[in-house]
Amino acid sequence: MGDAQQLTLKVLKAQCLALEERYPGYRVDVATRLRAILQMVRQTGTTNVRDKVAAELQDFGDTLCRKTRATEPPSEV
Amino acid sequence: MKFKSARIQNFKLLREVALDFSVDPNRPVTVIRAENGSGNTSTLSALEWGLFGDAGLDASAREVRLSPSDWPDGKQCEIRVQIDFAHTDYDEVGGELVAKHINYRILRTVTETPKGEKAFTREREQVHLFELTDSGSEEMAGPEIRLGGKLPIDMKDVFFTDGDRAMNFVSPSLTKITKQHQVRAAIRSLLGLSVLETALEHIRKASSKFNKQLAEACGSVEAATIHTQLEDKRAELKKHRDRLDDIDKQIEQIAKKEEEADRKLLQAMKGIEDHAELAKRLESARRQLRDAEETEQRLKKRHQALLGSESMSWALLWPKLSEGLAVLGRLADRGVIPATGLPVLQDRLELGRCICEADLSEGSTARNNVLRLLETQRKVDEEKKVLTELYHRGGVVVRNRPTGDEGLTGWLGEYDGLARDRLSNKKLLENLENEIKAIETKISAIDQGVIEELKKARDAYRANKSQKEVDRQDVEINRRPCEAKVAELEEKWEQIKAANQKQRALNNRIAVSQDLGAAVKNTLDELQTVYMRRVSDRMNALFLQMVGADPTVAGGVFKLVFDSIQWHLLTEP
Repeated sequence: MGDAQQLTLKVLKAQCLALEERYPGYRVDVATRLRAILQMVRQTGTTNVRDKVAAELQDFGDTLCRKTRATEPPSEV
Repeated sequence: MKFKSARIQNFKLLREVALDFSVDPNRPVTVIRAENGSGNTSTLSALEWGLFGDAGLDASAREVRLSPSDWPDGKQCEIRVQIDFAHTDYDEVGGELVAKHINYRILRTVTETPKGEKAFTREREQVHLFELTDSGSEEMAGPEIRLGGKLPIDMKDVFFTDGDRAMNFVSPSLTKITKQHQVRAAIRSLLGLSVLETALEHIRKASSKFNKQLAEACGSVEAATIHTQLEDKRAELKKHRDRLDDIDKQIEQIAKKEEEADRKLLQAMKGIEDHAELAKRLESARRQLRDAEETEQRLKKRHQALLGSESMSWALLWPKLSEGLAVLGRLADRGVIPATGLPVLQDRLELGRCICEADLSEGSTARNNVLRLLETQRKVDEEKKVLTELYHRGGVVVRNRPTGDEGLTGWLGEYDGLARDRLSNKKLLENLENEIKAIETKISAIDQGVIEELKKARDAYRANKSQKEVDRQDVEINRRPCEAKVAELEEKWEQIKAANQKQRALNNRIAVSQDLGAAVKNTLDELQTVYMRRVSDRMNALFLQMVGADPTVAGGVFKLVFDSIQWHLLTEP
């Protein structure tokens, strides 16, 4: 990754920072997932990129779901 | 990327060349200077080929051999270009990006076999990328992809140039739009914007898929209806946006053609301007020709008059006249002229006795002799009379003339001056006639028909562009209510999602895809506005520094790129 793309990444990270309020650590999670997605797109050899991106997002959503459940107080019966 | 050194073997004019580039940050420019035809352009081409392979060469250059033109036919030639360069890569360590300055070596080789002047066979080129370390070098897999990440091919036209192409870039031979396109493509490539755009498209598709799953999971008719309507409207909105993009591209293409046609027309119109100038010059030359012809007539008359003048006669006859008068003078001195014999003989005949006392009576021999003498003397006296008259009249005339030498010199001087004037005027006439002929040839070469055709073509593009702009307005009119409808349905859909919190997993999938999509979209927007301008300004400064151009003249090249992009963004739905 060169200087110019480093600039792109810097702007991307700043955008991720704006998402921090959802819950602690969300910024890093978004950045990690985005990096994975960009990697899939950038690698010319990757096949069926659309489905893989959807799978990545689904996994991220499900992981987020589990995390938020774990941090919630137990519901009253 | 910073070049450190290069080694070029058997590439066009270069048999074996080693270059060391300046790595001193205070002196960051390396000047390669050599005589024309000694391989300057070959060096540039070798570096382009070394980095990009055949794609780095101009289309025309790909068809010709890379090996030296004097390489023997039938003998294999290995062409090698090796470039050592430094590049700053970034690795993420503990969530932070750490810069790493790495030295690389790229080695590109190909074997070519010349077969005659132009024919050749070329094997598949080989490329190797090495990371250079203190302990040696390590070959890296996927050299082309890695190189593409460091220096994309889109950068080639902007960053690799020679003097001629650099001047072309600031000259009108490339249209402004072409220049803008090249620079915009280079900046987009440099920032990796296409990767972001593709990623955004995939994220939106995934989001759409999750929304559909949610609508199905809700099990309510309203949710299904809203979702279906939303998807339909989004699809409709996308069509409008795509159509607008398409029209924008068409307008850009037409504008490019219009600009090209306008440039050609201006070029041809310059002929018309020249036509007026040529007509002026023709008129002036014809006027000068008329003056020169009148001068020629005057000189001719002077010439005729000079040849028929008394002065010329005097000049030519003076030596003989002087000589004749001298002879007559001598005759007068000796008493030969005027004639005196005839009256004496006449008197003696009348007296009947000669001065020698001989009888001159009728029938005497002496009388007959005197009569014959008288007859002879009469003829001689006639001649003497003429000579005497010549002597006296000639003397009067000659005495009233200037001396012989002065007269001749004066006439000859006048004749010589006249001859020079006529020769000079003749040359002027010839020159003017040639000039008139040349101007007339130029005037006839200006084809009014071509100008009319170019005007028609330019006007057709202009009309076509206007029509496309009208089409654009129509699409825009349809897009706005569609966009409002999408916003309305999205709000309803958000309400449905909020009412269906039990579908937490699906909601989370939608939420993360929206968040990631927004992050990418905002990044793209920011890069295309703020950072694009910064990169454009930096490129502008570098380019002007490179060509040593006047910033007030060439500054617009890159500035216009930004203006164009801004315009595009402002008009983007």
